[in-house]
Amino acid sequence: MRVLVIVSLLLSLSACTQVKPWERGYLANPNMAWQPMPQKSALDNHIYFSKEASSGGGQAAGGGCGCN
Amino acid sequence: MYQQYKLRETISFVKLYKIMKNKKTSALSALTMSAMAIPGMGTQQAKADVAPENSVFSYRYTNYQESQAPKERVFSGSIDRYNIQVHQFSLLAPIKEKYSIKTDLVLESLSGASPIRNEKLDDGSTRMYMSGATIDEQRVDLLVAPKRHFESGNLGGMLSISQENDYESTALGVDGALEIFNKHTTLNGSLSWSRDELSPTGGGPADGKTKDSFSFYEGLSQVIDKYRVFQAGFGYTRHSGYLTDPYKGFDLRPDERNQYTLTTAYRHYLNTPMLGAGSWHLDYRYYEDSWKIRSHTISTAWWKDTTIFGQSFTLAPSLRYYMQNSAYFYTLDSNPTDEFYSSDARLSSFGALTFGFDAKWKTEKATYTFGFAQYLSSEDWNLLEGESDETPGLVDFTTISLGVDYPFSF
Repeated sequence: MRVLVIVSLLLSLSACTQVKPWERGYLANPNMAWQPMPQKSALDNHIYFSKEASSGGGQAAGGGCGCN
Repeated sequence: MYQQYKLRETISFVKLYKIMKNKKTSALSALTMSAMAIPGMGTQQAKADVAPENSVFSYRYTNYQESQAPKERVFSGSIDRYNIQVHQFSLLAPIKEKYSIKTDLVLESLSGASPIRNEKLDDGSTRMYMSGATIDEQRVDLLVAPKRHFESGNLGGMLSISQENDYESTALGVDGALEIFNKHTTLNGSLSWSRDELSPTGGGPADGKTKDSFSFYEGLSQVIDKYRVFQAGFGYTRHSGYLTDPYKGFDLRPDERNQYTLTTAYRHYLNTPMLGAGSWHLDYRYYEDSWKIRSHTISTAWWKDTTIFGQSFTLAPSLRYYMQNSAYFYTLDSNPTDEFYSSDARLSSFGALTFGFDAKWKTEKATYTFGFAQYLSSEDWNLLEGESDETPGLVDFTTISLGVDYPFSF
C-alpha cells in the first residue's frame, strides 16, 4: 500500500508542465540555484547552528564543532 | 522526438518501479539508496547534474562581530563578545568526464568572551556571568567530497575533519540524486555519521567525552514550469553522548537529542514592472526535537542581474525571520534542582531577524563577491509565544564578506 501511495505521488508530479530542454534557459540561470553562493550558505548554516537551537534541513548534518 | 522523450520517461519510471518492487527493500529505503542527488540544497539548478566543465577555485573572507553584552546586565566577566575571522577556500575540479571532486578548507580565528550562565533576580531582571579572559582559538575544517556523475543523477561521498583547541569532529557521508520523469523530478538523499571528542580547556568532567551523530535527509525537487522549481524534504538527526556545554555553569543536558526538519524551497524567475527581471527565492523550515524545541525559519531573497557602468553585477537583498520556543529544561533559577537544566540563551524562547545584502561583480576572468548581514534577536520576537523572561545573553552580530570565484582549466 505504501508503495502504491509513493508511486501515485510520483506519477502525479509528472503532470506538471513539460519543459523541453531548449526551454530551460530561465531554470539554468545561476540565480535560480538552490544556493547561488555556496560558501556563503555554508558559513550561514554554521553560524545559525552555533547561535540558535535549531539546525539541519536540506541535507544530512555532517560534522560538528565546539562552537559556543 | 516527442516519442523518444516519452520512451525515456517510461524507462526511467520502469527502473524506479523495479527498484521499489524488490521485496528485500522497503520503498523508503529504496528511495534513500537509489538517490543520486542534488546534495540537499546544493548548488545545482533544476537540470541534469553533470560534471563541471572547468575547475573553480573560490576564496571568501568573513569578519564576524558580535555586539557587546549589555553592561548593566553583566555581573562579572568581559562584555566584549566574539570576533571571528573566517577564511574559506574551495576547489571544485572535474576528473575525466564522469567524476568531480570538491575540497573545502575553513580556517577560523576566534577571540572574545561568551556567557557562562544567566539567572533571574527577584525584580524580574536577568543577570549574566560572562567569561573573564578573552579566549583566543583557531579552528581548521577540511572537507573532501568526490562525486560520480551518471546520465540521470549522481552519487557522492564526504569526509570531513574539524579541529580546534578543545574539540575534534570527524564525519563521513554519502549522498545521491536520481532524476525521473524526463528530468522534471529529482529524488535526492544523504546520510552522515560523525564522532566528536571534547577536551575542554582546564579539563573537567567533559574531558575525553564523546558525542555521536547520525543524520539522514530525503528530498524531492520538481520543475513546475519553465520559470519555477520547488523542493521539499525531510531530515532526521540523532545526537547521543555528552551534550552538555562544558563551558557553561549550572548546565546539565540529556545525553540524547532527536531532531526533525521539514524544509521547502521555491525559486521563481519573474519579470516585474518595478524590479525588472530576477529570481525570487522563498525558503521555509520547520524544526522540532526531543528537547521540546520547535522553530520556524522563513527566508526570502531577490536575485537580480544588472549592469552598472558597463559592468555585470548580480544584486541580492535578503530577509530571514527565525523563532523558537525554549527547551523543556531551560531555566533561570539560581539553584536548579530538576534532572536537567541550562540557562543557555540559545535554548530560550526568542525570535531573530537577519537583513542581508549580497553582490557579485562578474569579470572576464573571475567573479568577485561581497556580502553583508545584520542579525538581531530578542526574547519579544517569538510571534507564537507570549512574554518571555529577559534574555540579555541573546546575541546580535554583523558579518562582512569579500570573495572571489576563479574558473580555470588544468
